[in-house]
Amino acid sequence: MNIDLIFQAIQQVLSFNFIILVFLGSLIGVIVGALPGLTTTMGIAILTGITYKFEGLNAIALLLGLYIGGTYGGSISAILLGIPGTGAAAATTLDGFPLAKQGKAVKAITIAREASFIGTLIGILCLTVFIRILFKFALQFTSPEYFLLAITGVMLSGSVTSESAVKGWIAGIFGLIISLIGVEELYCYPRFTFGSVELYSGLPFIPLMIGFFGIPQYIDNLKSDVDITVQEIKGFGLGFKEVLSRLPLVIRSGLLGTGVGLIPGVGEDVAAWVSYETAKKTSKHSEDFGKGSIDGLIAAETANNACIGGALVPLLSLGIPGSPPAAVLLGALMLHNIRPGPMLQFEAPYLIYQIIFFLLVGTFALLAIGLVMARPLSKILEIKPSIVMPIVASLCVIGSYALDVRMLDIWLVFIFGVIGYILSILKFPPAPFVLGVILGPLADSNLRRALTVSSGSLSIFITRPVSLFLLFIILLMVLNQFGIISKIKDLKLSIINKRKEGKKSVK
Amino acid sequence: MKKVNLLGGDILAGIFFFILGIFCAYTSFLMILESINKGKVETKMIGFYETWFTSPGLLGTLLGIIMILLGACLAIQAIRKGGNLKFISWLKIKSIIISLEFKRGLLALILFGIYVFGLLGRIHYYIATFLFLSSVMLIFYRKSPFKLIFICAIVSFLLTFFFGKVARIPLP
Repeated sequence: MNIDLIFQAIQQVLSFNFIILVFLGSLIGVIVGALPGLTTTMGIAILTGITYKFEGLNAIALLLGLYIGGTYGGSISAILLGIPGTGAAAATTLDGFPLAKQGKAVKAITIAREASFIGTLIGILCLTVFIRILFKFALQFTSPEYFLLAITGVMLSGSVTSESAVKGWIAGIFGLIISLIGVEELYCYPRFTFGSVELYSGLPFIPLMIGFFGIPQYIDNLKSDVDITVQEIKGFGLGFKEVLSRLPLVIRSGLLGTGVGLIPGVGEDVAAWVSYETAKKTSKHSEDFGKGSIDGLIAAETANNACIGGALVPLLSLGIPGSPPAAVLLGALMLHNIRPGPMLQFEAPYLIYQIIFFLLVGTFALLAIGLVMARPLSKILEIKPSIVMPIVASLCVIGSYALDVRMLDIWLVFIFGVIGYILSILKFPPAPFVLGVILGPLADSNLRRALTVSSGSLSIFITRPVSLFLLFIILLMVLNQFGIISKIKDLKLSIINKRKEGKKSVK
Repeated sequence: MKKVNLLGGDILAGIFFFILGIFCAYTSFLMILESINKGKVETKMIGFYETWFTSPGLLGTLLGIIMILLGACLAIQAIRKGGNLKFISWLKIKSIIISLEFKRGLLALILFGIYVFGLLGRIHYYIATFLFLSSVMLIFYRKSPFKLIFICAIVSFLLTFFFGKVARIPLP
């Protein structure tokens, strides 16, 4: 680790300007995360459009602040309303809301805040350690590996984020197909443009994401007329006593969250659930889970924030996002001419440390904002969705129009909003779709490049060890989904039993 | 009942994606054929042959075939779990259409559609946004109309001023 490089990198961003931007981003993130119906992914997508003309580092500081704040902010409505503000806070609701109903809202919010703080720090530490290792590893990747990594990422995301892996895979493949629209880079051949010149540049990622995530929430929140009851907050919460007294749980949850973040496209909500379920299974008081267990609350909140650091590892080193918000962040980085991947360490050596610095500032901002904003946010949560959601829809329009100043982008928000809504009703997960759209160009160019190198021979995918490993993972997922692995296990068991019976009869 | 409806939806979705897969695979395969035909004649301008593995249709064909298989799989799985298309009956559709939730959702979408396709780009952004915000809030909130109109006017002004003038972000 080059200490001089780290100091020079941080010196460039150690200014009031950047710190304010991160704090502002965190504040916006906490509000976005806290309001049910707004998601961190949507917030990052809208803000990416709005900050398009900002200087690169300024925009990144704001967006990273929003990422951290948004992931934490969901816990506030989860605890006070019983409705998770973001998917990442769904597991938090199970124990956070019962605690609030028992009159311990301040305690629950304090614990969630401190757990999120420590979780984010664990994630940042893992990011700092793992990214160097993955950069070295990623430099050996060539076209076959990148193609298979893209496909594996989409399929893994589909398998893990959906009850039905087939639906997850369909969403991912659909995203990959959508990414093919436009003029391709090798021969400038227009694909699926139907003669429309407007589609030659392809479907823009940010308006697509804004529509896909924003409009279903707008419709969902307006279609049901639910009365909101916010639990009262009395007093003021400070201190890490409860969280630090459970240090082994915190560290395990942090590491689990980071580990889940490393898997492409999976994200904070899965991290929270995995950690919650693990804590429940290993707890001596598992019967308390779901009734106001502090262990459950800590496990969920530590993991979902630790996932941020984990998700940034494959994003920065391979250009493959570890979560849906990270996927939109990838789009934002590319808009500002930053190309994540193994070459990032050479093209922008300072950037990685600057991002780590922004994350650290954002973590402390989370603590400060969470402390100050808990009570005002409880008032904001009382605002009806019928007031908030149309304003959010207007922001979706601004965010999508700001990029290319085209009406088409606003129309795409509507169209993909409708598609996203229909898919959400039918329980198709959004994460694989996002991953498919963002990784499609990578998969396309690397597939053709790989086959060009091998002159059309498919052996290039099985003669390289990493490619073979990734193919094996894909095969395993397919066999598992269609029950072939369990059938093989059953067959093996029946053969063993028959042999045992055979031996007994001989005796 | 809801589960059966979801399975029925899965069958429809499976058929849709099956057809999408066929379209994608067919269109992409035509691109591969075009590449192979072009490759039979040397291109004088750039001097190299186009082949099937550099064809723009390669990934599309692969994805189309996978989508065909997955779409069929989804539909078959749904049928095996007891799903059927009986929910596509006039009575069922009518019961969905007359439900309050459906009406509210559809109205929200229509209002946003009018905003996006009918107002933006045709009238000033401030007026378009004010009309959209006030119509949604008045229809869905239904209390304190004068207070709501005032809030909408202020919010529209703030959006126009802050994003348009202060941040200099182009507004439709």
